[in-house]
Amino acid sequence: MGCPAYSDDGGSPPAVSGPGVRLNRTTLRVTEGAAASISYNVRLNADPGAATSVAAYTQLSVTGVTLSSDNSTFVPGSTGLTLNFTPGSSGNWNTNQTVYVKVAADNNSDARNIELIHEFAGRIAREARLWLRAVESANDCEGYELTSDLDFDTNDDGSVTSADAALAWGAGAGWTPIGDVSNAYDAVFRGHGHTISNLFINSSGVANVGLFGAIGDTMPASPAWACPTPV
Amino acid sequence: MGLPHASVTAATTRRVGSLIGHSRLATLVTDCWATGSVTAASFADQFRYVGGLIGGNRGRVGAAYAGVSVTVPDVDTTGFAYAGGLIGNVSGPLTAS
Repeated sequence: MGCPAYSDDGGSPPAVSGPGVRLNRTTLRVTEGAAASISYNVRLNADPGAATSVAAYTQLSVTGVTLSSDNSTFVPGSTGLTLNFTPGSSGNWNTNQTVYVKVAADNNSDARNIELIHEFAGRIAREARLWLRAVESANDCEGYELTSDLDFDTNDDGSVTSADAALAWGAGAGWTPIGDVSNAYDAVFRGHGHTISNLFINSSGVANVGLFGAIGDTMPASPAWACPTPV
Repeated sequence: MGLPHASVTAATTRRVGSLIGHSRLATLVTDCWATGSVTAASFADQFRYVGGLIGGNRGRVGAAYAGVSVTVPDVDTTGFAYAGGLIGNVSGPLTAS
């Protein structure tokens, strides 16, 4: 496996029924301290029936994130933004409003995941969570990739047997799953269409088992960057 | 990415899949497939999710399939187990899988 160049993989979120918030992205990658902003769009998915607003903000513990509806004006510390929508056929409820985002440089070298919350009609819209992946440099490595096909049947006799190294791993347990709940794999993984043939695991006492034991952040509601995906 | 002819067996476990045991919130898994077998021989506690590709899923999954034989043990009258050819237990969105 090697370290791949990163490309943003956030797509459109699923639609919700009834009035709700609609974003055009679920994940965005942003470089801390970059002069250029990144952006996403917000609209409602149904006529709200009355003038309403969507509040976009981060959790209070998050610092350095600035949101703006004007790409030429960023006020440091203005982490919240209110987007107003009007109802009816002449209203703007179904018109995208653009939110521009900048993240200030921090004092460490670690990438971080930042949740942007969207509050609508007195509720936090779960359908409209957006995760920012804030990295230190545009060239930061964000995970791993599979660069060739792999095969646990190393002697190519059609099955994993004692003649194969995989059966000897872990005293016969085979592959050790990558990550568990307390230390989940929290990065991109791109398979690029390759295969891992004859994956062999015979474990006991391991809570979460697979090529990957657990993916995602170790916190209950976190990042969007665990994706074993060929692109 | 594909996992042809996978053989995954787990005893005293919680969540088992060929690709992923436990996929947490806000994750994204796409363009993945597997064939072979996934077996949970016994469970450690009340988390009993067994899937051909993913055991327990709380994130997003799209463009995925599994031709996997999934086996779970008998559970007692108070127990339960969620098993699925693709995913054992789902609480996240699926698309074109």
